Amino acid sequence: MPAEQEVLSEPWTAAREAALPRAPQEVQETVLLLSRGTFDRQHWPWLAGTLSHVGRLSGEVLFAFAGSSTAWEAHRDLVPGNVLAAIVELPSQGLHRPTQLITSQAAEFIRQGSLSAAVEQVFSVVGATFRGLERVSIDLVSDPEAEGSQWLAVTLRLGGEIEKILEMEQACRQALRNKLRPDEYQRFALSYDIPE
Amino acid sequence: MDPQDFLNVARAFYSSPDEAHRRTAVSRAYYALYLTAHQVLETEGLPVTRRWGAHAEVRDFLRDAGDAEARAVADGLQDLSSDRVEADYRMTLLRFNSKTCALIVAKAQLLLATVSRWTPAAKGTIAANIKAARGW
Repeated sequence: MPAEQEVLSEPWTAAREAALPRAPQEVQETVLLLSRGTFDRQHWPWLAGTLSHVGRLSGEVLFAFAGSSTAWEAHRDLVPGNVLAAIVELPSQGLHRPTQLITSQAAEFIRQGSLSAAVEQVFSVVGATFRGLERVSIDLVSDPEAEGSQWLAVTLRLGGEIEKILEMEQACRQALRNKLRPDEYQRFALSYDIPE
Repeated sequence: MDPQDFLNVARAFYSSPDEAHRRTAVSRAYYALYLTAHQVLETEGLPVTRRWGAHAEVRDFLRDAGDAEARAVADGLQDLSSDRVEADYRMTLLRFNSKTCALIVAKAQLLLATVSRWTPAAKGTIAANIKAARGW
């Protein structure tokens, strides 16, 4: 099953609710992982203690990890291939940070293209330039009409007036040009999901 | 036919209650901008391939123009191309509601207005810069 973000919203909610009570008090962020098949804890010692088996969705096993984002950032490059997607988010404690989601196909493309640092910059820039951002998801898009043509679609879920969003996009583009190398910059496309 | 006429189709369909219409609006909005940019480049004597890779080539030409507006059009083509591929091929996506499609069509319209403002002299400068960047 492809890791489409649209089919994950309910499992993510369940995972969050299962993981948060296990989190130490000092933990302010939750990392949620969707994994296909078994999950080898030996390879993931940094998850030990807080990893919880949450349930199944269409044959896929859902795990949740309540831990610091520092641990996640330090280990995200080691994510095994059976992890379909991961998000980092803050529990609702008056703090706000948009949910981040990277599909497994995108994660593989990022690894192969050594784009992890560029992706971090993209998350940082879109978070700083788009007000009211609820979610940022990154997925790999391939054009079936153009052989070998692939890029990362950065889909921003946010509300607001179209004119304001397009203004914020101009600021975002300028910041991305300043932060990314041209060959990195051209790997990303911006797209939107505006709730009705 | 003027490729900008595709924008009229996009504007007619983006708020339709029928998702197939809204996805069609996304596709037409992209092609209105892409074909207009393609036409400008060809008219200025830049040889855009008619085979696979033409869409990327138009973006690359515009990025080589050394012009902020041309670069913005190239970026917009990248974004709208991504929307177009998802609208045409990824039937499971749920984001093509009327508000999202309105934004996509508005973005294409904004960029088309930019291209339409280019004077013959501005187009000539853009083409000359592209040729210089490529050593032609």
